[in-house]
Amino acid sequence: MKKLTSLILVLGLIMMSQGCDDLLDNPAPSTSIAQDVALNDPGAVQALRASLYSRLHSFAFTTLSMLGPDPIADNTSNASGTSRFQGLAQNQLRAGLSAWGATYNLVLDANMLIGGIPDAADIDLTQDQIDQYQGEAYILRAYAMHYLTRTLGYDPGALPPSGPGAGWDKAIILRTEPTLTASDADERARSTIEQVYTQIESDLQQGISLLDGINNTADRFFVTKAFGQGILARVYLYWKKHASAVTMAENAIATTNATLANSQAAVTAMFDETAGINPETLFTVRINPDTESQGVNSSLAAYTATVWNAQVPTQDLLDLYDMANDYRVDAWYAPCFSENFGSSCVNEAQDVNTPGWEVQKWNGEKGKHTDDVPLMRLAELKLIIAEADARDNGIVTAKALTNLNDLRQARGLGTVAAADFLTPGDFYQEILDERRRELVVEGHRFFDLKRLGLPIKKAVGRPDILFTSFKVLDNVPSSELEVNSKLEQNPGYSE
Amino acid sequence: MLRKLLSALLFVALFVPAMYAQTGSITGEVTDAESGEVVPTANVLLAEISRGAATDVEGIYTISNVPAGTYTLRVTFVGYQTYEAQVTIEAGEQLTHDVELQSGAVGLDELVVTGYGTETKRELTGSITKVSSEDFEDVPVQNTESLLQGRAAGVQVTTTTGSPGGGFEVKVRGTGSINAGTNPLYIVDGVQISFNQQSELQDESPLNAIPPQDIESIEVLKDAAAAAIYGAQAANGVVLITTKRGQQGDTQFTASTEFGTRTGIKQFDLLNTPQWVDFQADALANSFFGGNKAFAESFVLDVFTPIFGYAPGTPVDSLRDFDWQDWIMRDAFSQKYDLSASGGTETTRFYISGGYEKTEGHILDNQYQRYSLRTNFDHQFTSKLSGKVNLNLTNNKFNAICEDGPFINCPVSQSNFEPPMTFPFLDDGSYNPNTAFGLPFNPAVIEEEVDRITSTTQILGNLSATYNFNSWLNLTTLWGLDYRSTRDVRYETPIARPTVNGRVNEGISTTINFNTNTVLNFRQTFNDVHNISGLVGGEYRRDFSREVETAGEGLPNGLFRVISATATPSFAQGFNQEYRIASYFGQAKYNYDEKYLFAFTARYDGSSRFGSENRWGFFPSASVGWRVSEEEFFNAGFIEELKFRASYGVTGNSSIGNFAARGLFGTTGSYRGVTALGPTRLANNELTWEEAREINLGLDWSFWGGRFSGSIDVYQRDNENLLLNRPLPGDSGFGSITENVGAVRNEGIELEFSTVNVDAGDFLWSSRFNVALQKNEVLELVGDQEQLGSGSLPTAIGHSIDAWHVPMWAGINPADGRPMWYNENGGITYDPGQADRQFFDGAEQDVIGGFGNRFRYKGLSLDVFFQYSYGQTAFPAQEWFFMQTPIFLTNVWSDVLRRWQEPGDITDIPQATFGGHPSTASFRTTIGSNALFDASYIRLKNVTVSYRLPTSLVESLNLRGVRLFATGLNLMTWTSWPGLDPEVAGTFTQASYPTAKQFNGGIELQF
Repeated sequence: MKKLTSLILVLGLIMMSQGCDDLLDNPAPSTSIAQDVALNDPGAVQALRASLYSRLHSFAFTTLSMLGPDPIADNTSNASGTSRFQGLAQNQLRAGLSAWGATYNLVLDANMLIGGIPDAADIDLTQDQIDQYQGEAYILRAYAMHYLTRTLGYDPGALPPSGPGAGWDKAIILRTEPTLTASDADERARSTIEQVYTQIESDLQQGISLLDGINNTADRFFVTKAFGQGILARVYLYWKKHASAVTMAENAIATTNATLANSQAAVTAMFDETAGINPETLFTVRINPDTESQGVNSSLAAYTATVWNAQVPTQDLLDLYDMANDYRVDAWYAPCFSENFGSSCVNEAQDVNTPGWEVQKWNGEKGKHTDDVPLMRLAELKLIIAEADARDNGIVTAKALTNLNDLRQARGLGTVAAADFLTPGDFYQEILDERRRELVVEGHRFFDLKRLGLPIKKAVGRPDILFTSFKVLDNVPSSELEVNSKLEQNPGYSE
Repeated sequence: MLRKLLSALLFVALFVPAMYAQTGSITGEVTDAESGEVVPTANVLLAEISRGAATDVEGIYTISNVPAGTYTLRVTFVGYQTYEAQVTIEAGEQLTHDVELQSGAVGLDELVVTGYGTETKRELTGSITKVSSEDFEDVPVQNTESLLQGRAAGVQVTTTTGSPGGGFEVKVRGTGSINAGTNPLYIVDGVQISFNQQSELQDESPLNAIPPQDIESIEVLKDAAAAAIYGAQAANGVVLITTKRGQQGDTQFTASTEFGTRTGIKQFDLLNTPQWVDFQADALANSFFGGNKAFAESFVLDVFTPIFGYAPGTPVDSLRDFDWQDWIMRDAFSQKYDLSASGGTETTRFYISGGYEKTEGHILDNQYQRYSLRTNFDHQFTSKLSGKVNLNLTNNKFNAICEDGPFINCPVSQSNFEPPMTFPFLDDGSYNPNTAFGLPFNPAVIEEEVDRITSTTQILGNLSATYNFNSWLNLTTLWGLDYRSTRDVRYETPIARPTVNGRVNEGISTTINFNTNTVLNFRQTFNDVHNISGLVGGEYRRDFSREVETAGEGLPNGLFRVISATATPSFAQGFNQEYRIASYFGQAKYNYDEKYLFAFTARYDGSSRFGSENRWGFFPSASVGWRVSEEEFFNAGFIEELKFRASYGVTGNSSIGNFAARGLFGTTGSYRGVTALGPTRLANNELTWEEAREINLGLDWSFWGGRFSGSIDVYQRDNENLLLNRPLPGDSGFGSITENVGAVRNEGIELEFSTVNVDAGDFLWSSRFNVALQKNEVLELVGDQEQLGSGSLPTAIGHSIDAWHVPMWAGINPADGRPMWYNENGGITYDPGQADRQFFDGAEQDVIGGFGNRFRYKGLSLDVFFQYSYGQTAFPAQEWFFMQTPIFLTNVWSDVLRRWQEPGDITDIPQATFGGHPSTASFRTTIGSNALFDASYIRLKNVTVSYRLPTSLVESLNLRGVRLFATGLNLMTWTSWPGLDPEVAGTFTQASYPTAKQFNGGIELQF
């Protein structure tokens, strides 16, 4: 009987004595992992790196950032009856290019990789792996910040002399530490243009040095050292540090194995993924059509060529091409046709350009309206050198001409000579025109005008937007202003 | 561990016979005090040791092998007051103790189940409502929640669907949370039930596992004093369900069978074909044809009706006029069979029951089936050690239909989406391809070519052992398992899903909820006046759930309906989750001569759901009672009981996401074949339960020998630390963090009483009534925010959680038939904006309750029960959005017949148009004050007539009893609600499955 009593008592007490934290600790979610695991497990760190790259699949870093700068200026406009990016084409209030959420999601992933993972000694990853992941993180963080700061702030040396934005030097909020706890998510004010550009420069230099010898250029579906150099050249161009821009662009060209496509066939195949990686790319974002694409509704191809055919080239742009000789005309333009609906849209496109063409850089060759997205091409480096060297010296230099002519020849055109330009200004205009011809729907036109303090040119009968207009800067999302008392709205916008 | 316990019990069982020396037994006859007739099947109990027996057909009870000692003998039976007496049983003695029962209400000696124990009503200091089996005998419902509806003051039971076996939303004393769960904690025979909703096809309640006829009583612990012993899970109230158990005596069999019908309560008054054509033509003429109605009518017949398969120009009188509501809502049939056996010896008692039910819903082929099997065993191993086993197996199978949404494949929506000139079948018997949304959505195709089957198998079992150290101290250990596996199959033939040539989707969800507790109970009296009792215990719960779902497309023919037969697998997912709770608790009670009562409870709870810094919490409560009627100075003879109660306590609500506190990395996409894991949620190590602080004042009374008894309670509960999402600066990479910041107050008054109006020997008339007034107010939100959300249903400080925030309706402009609203300055606007909104009454039910009368004459009894709800302001979304506009070519309700048609018309329905009027907000999609309707109602919920055959006749048939009964459910409803059923009117009502009117009849045999 005593035995029995104690047995029952023991059975009962075992349970009561178990009530400690051990009993509560084990449950783990099955489709997520805890933060401390994610930052210390080698597989999870690699998955975090994949997350960093997957942020580039977002609408903001594909369709918005690549295509958006064209309709907001004068390269494309809406075929009649279409609405995609109509707000941009009409420069509607608050219909801007900024991508606050997408940028800071990417920045957080980058910050986690840079500041949240242990040293190689404390995790089962090699020093090269860690260098590579962190180098990529630095460069992509800089890339994302440069995109956002161009939409929300002015560029160095190009502030409006008058109007609401006169003297407005606020750029974006800098975040360089991982947000690990709620207290890290503090309220911050916008840094100045100079501070932001300095941070971007430092990030790119860090990234370039970390990737040195690890992925200079071998695998261009990941960030390469050459890409870091190229982006830094682009940043110096915006910063008006022309000599540095030239040097860095030349470094990038020296590093990369990218080559110019220099025949009709090569230019035509350049953006066709079925023909292989874009020969001119320094880094291309790879997109799996089945799982990673913006798809039938929102992809670049859907907007321009295969579904909605909303943004078609303006006649103003087409007029810049040498229709007879320029390889790019045949390669990148065709009569408007929606593959998805199996119907022609020539009539609708004719409201924007005479022949009723669509732009076909993004043509969905991978299926499901999906294209890989090169974030920088060799052609742009040539144009950066041409522009920066001329501006640096105030004259049309031999180097400037050589680089421009390299590109022209690769595109089936004859060379130009210094004598063709009466003033340096004529040369700068030629460069801007060449950038339109070459970099259409690759995320440049609006920013090119803005960085030079020029009016935002419009086509199809719309009036230009003066550089002094407050609409040159996008608005800061009002939801952010509500949460962050230190955050200032751009001038001209009510909260 | 379980195995060890089992072998321990087995070991004990072998040594039982040696231990009976020090025992005696008690026997006696139980009779009706007035008539002297014997009372069979009365319950006899020795309270201290929980040993009991039922009287046999001669009214004799015997309880043997009782350890020598002094006990409280308690005899209870339906319709009689509880009898109690002290008896002393000597070793070896056979004591005879006869009992005379007084008719009347059970009153103060009624046993009430409380957390981890029982008490008499006399001793209670908290607020507990009890509903006993006699209150719901013969009510043809499928589950437990509906038994509480209108029967427990302050317990709001909302039917979420009228489909048989469907789910409920139960709220005890209002809504105390904005984002966390509001379900009470359900405990069946000591086992906490998991409420994970598993089926994606059918809203079903986990309590379907307990057939109502197996339920002995349901207790609702309402105030903090009563519920705090359940700590972090108690803030929404606790519902304790106790099932029937066997009594010592000859085996008693009860067999019953029941048949019934279900029909719809109400149908909409919809337009017939000529009215529909006229309405469409009117709208076309107004919007497109410059008022040329004749042209518009020919346009309708040339363009619109051909969409439905008619030749262009078919005249109106050649169009069919089909009543879709009649076709979709049908008369349904139900049948139910139950068999139970109970009885036992002095050492072993059992209750075994089995049942089968098949109930058709009144919409298309909707159907519910249940197989249930239940066994309860009680065994006395020795005079000190006893054990119990409860095992419950059920299988619920639904033929479900699509519900709750304006979806074109939901039959409830279809009954008004289809215009009157469409019809299900062509003359040759094939499906009509020209119904409103084409062949795949023809309601006949939905019925015949789509299967939505949900099958839930549930095992609910527990094993417990009690060791009585002596007459005042015992230890009980309970191990319980609540296992539920739900299989959903959605099968669509190529006719119903032509785009993918047929599809099968199959999902299996399983919950394994393990629960164990150990409680040491004591109860002692000193000097006859100091009564001390209490308990200490510990509890542990693990709730694990898993889901796997997969689908395939492309089915060659109707022969196979499994994934393997599909051409292409199209979808697969699977995940699991778990939470754990560990607890310690205790209770101490003291009363002085049952006059001054004091009780303290406390629970210390830890939950895996909460942040590491705040994982454990403490939930105390204290309550006092004063039985004024026991005082010397109190000499109002007709009052037996007058008790004041007061209590205060703290409870918690832990019904939040299992991982809401954790910093998480989740799937954010992929890159080059590597699945991406990115930060998705920021950790909040401070995250903890929502906390409810409740004060309750109560008064219980019983007058004139229990002929008028009842209680009144007043409470105020502040729910604090509510979980709300605090927005973070987006540049941190996160949008928000969940924090404990908000506060909501609920306050109310609850009154319940019962009376015996006439007690004239053979004739008894008794009444019961309950009412609860409740009010809800948001006190605090994130930071200095005044309001969360900006739409029609924001959460705003100073208003109830579901307060409406909409523009005030100003009527139809008699000049041009446009809708008008008031703007913020009191002027007229045709396009109200955010600033023009004002607050209106909320969607909360302000007053709820029920009342019933029971008449009994000899074996014949009649029970009439009403249930009511007052003060709910709800939005009939389906009706408002789709039943008053020509846009979708669907049918509309006949209210549009009084629409504005010419200048000077004074009405509340605007001119018919396609797409509204220029620069005017859409009448259809603008929720203004005119779109909100009062969903108050009184419903004749239940009328039951039953007849128990006289004993003489029954005995000649060699039976113990025969009872015939007939029941009507939802017989009449008084309401101004425009929808089909105010009972299923939620805040935002979207084509919910209305409840049915039911008629059932049956017979019960006892032998």
